[in-house]
Amino acid sequence: MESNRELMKIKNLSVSYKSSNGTVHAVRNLSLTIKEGETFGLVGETGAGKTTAALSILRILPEISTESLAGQIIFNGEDLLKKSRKEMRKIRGKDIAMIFQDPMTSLDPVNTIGSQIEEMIQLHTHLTKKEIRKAAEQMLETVGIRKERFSDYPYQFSGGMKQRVVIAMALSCNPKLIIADEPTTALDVTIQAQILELMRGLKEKYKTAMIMITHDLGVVADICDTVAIIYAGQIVEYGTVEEIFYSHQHPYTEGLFHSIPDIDVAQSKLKVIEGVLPDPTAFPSGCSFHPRCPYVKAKCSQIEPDNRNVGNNHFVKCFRGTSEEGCD
Amino acid sequence: MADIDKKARDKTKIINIFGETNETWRRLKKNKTAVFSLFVLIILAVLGIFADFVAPYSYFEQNLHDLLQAPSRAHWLGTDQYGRDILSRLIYGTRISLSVGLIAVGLALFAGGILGSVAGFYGKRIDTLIMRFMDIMLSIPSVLLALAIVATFGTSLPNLMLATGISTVPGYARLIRASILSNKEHEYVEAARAVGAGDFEIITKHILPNCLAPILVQATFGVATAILTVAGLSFVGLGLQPPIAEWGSMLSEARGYIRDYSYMLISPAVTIALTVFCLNTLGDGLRDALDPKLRD
Repeated sequence: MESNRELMKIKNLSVSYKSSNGTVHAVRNLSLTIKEGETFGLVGETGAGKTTAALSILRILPEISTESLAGQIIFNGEDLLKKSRKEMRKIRGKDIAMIFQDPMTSLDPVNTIGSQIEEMIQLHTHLTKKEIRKAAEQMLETVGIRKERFSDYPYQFSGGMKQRVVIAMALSCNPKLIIADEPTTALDVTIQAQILELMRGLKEKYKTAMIMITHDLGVVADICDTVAIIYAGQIVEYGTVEEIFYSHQHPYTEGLFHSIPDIDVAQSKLKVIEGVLPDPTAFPSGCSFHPRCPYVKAKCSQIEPDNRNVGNNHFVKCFRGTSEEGCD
Repeated sequence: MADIDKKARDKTKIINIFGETNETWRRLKKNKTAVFSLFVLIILAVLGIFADFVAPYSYFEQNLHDLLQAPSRAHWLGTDQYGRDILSRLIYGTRISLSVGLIAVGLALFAGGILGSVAGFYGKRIDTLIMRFMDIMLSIPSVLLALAIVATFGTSLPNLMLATGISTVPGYARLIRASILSNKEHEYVEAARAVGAGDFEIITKHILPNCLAPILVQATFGVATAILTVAGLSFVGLGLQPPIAEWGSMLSEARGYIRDYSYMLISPAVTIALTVFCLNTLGDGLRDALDPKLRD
């Protein structure tokens, strides 16, 4: 199901916002490659820049506060950042669709769910009204909602059902890439499992690539092929799901895995990564993670580490384990 | 079994069609004054529309035999100084007053809606430009502005509508701008953008329907204000010219006879007061019915 053709390549994406405290560097030099049909996990804490990266792919960053958007987002051989607004509007929804975090708020409360799916199809196809209605009803059934509920309003649905509607919307124009921004965060655990199962099934059926933004490593293990761990707007570790789970090298990745409670061991206290995300208006010198890193060396606060290959397509942004690391 | 299932489905469908509207109506019904007001307004509207059939006499034909008659069986509300039936004139006046009220508010809503939407949605320089212009308009007294317009362009019905409408544009523009500002940050707007919807679709299909409640309430109050303004303009002689029946001009004409024939003045005055009262209570009722915080 995963072919080797590149679908999207992001090169050195940097996004910054204006704020009263100065420039906020939300995403810094982010580069990644997504292959056709692949599920790519973007993992990080709240505020790490995951959502900003996703919004910049669709170019729907809040205009008023965005200060700069630089780099390249090559999709199907064309740079999305160079496209006009009109061209972008044709891509949004048709080639790249997005599933938002909270289905309670991402559906318009005063329009029926049916009309919202229809709007999506109507914007990107030239079908007649009847055909659009039929296609929309079919999409609803695909995600497991009876088509009798076509004219219901969002408030008449539960959270899980709403997220199904959002997924139906996202898939209705058969996009090549879906960006799912924490699609299960707002749902309870049993519903999460159902939604993930549904997404996996549909992804295989439609052969759609997906960027899965999450902070839940369980979701990553469940559904992702490739994973990037993002910290303070930068990718700190990048590799296949196996590499990240079984041979992660970055202290931050390690910290993330340590903070998952182990079901077999009696634990009274959760192991956490000490400290908080650095102030995005003024990052620490050297490696951004060094103030929180348990293995910190003198060098870490002075020089920013480069991406270091530790496997075929597995890299780490850390000095640890190299000869440069210095003496213990 | 299947039949029962279908019946149940049909039933839910009926409820669903009305959706939110149905809920609002249910809560509005509980407010007895609002329902009464709505009822009165509907009667007034019907009377106005079918004035040609309902009114017992013509509104302009003079009958010099029956000048200044007190209310009687033939003339329920009496006759005026030219022998015209006051009831008939009131009924014809309903047509003018209600249509001026509705159209003036419609015009103001349309203009204010566009200006407010653009200002609120795009922000920045265009917002400043539009809203400062609105501030300038607000600084002109509304009656003075209306007087100026009518005095310049003449006293025809469309001019009257324009004159009453134009001074309320800034109010609607500010209200709609504020609603748009608070609604455009919602996630469903971002979602609509991610779907590929353009600005026009986002504003008209997603944002405006979501801020309908305050606009609707304001518009109801606006109709009442517009009716008063027209009556005021007519009273000072800048409204519609005789023999057209209009509540304000009827008041104005009756002024000279207030001492001996006060019924001439009372009936149009009461009609104006009743209409404005009903519009205001209906607006109040709508506001309560549409406010999600007051939901039971």
